[in-house]
Amino acid sequence: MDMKREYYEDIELIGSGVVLFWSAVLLLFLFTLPLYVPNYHIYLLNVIIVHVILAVGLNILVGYTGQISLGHAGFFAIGAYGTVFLMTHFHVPFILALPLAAFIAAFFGFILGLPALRLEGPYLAIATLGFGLAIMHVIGTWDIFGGRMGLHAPPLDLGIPQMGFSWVLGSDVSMYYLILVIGIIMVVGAINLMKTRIGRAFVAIRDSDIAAEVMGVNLTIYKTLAFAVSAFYAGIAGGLFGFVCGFFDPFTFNMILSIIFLVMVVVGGLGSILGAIMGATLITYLQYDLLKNVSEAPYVGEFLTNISRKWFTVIGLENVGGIALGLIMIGIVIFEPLGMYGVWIRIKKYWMTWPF
Amino acid sequence: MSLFKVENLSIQFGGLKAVNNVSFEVEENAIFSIIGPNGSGKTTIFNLINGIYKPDSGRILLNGEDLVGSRPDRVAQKGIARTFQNIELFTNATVMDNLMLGRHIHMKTGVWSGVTATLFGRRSRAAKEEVKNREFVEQIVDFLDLQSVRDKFVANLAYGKRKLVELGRALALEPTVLLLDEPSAGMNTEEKEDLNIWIKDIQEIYKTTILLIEHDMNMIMGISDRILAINQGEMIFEGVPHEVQRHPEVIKAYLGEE
Repeated sequence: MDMKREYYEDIELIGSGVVLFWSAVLLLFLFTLPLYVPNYHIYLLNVIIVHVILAVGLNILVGYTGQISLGHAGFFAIGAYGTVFLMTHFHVPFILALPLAAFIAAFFGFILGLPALRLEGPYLAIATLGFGLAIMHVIGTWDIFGGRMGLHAPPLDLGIPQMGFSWVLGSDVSMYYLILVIGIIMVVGAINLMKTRIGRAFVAIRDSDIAAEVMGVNLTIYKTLAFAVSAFYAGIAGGLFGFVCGFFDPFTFNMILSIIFLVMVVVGGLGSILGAIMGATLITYLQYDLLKNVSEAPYVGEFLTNISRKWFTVIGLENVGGIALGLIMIGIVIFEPLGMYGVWIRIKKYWMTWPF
Repeated sequence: MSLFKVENLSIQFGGLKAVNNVSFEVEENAIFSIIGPNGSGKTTIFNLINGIYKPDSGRILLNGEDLVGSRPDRVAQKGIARTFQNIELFTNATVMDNLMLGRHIHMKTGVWSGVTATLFGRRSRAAKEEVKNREFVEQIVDFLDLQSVRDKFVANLAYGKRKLVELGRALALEPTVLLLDEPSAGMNTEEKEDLNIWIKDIQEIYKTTILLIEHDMNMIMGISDRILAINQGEMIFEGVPHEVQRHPEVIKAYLGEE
């Protein structure tokens, strides 16, 4: 057992030698990952980390503060469009454009947080859903944002080209390192935030808003703040996503994407940062890679493809993937309400008390 | 001048006069109890003080400052804390987190210092603030004997313990006035005796002024400095315990007429 000797250890990131060791192993693994995975998978890894950033932010809103959002694709879009637009039209360097776009997303998050003061549950879900749809359509009608034709991301230049200092990240691998570093910063930031005063106020609002208010938590400020912080995370994720894809149009940020984001958080585990990370990783992997692997699997692959063609759809395994995803979601909600985080806790407990 | 004063407080829900023209004064560091049958408007008075309801008329004065019209969180910042009749804790958080939330108004950590809470190790602003307030909260943990449950989730606690955690959370706010809404409800005799002592200690150690709603007459008569009896939103009588005990109107409200 690890004994705590002072109060600071409760908020410390790395509290014991064991945690330090495994954190180091994990970091080493993440930073050497491009050495042993093929190129297509680097792209997948980039998407996964982008989704992790977004899911961690969404979990702050949904899991910690207890507010729902079906409009996070909207903030994601603001991040992507904002970053590229600032770079191409105002020649803002990437390192400034990305946080700026995220702040714009946070501002919209604050605006969307205002109706949340009066709305709850299904009503808030509808309001946020409307926001997500509106953003998609507004962007689609403005020619300045490329309209329905979409936008191409400019080369990702980490330097300040206006001052003659250029550092272009050309490959998926170099982009992977950038996204990984930003992802780690965002995740650590969220862990810290949730352990201190603001995080506690969020949880208080989720569990009993009346008690929170009576104890001095200003509901107006903290509910809008939760939306703003969450939208900021989505904005950063969106800004990176634009460069991962290289090209995006309004339909990239459709309603289904918002729902998938919510699925990541619920499947991973509400109110847990680790859960959001696991959920985003699993769902992104399933969406992007599982379908392909299944159709190429020995013996069963062809069989499944045929079933899918015959009974579900003409485009092959797409639907089987969707059905599998749906089954996984239903299964997790029924058998493990805490999501993958709950499973993780159980495994951990099992090994800590083994062999009893 | 008394520390806390309620003047001609009234509120009406539809046709029901839930609280009708209630006035009372509470001296500093006193224990002031409100008694009355169920539905007589006791909790409504607390909700009015907290700013959860807005009175139709009347004033609520703390140190001469009118609290009417302030939002609940502003009222808390002015130093009024409370517990609830049906326990309102943050059930999916630990006891420690619940108590630390009581320190909310005494802390300043914003988003930026929160996000960077471990950037400079224990020298970070948020980390220092956490440690300082933890020390205060630990005193309350010691005081209310909560050591054994400090890291447990509230959802896993027994009813009596939850009542104590809620009391601790209110204390963590360092209130000038503490509102306790039926703190002994659902407790057994032994727990009630402990609670009795704790309330007395809170009065002495933390120098808090206490407003108490209770049904347990033994407890009320033992610890109250003054008692207000109300029935159907109206004041019946206000005075020291032994006067209240003998007052015919109070007896009538509680036991009915012969």
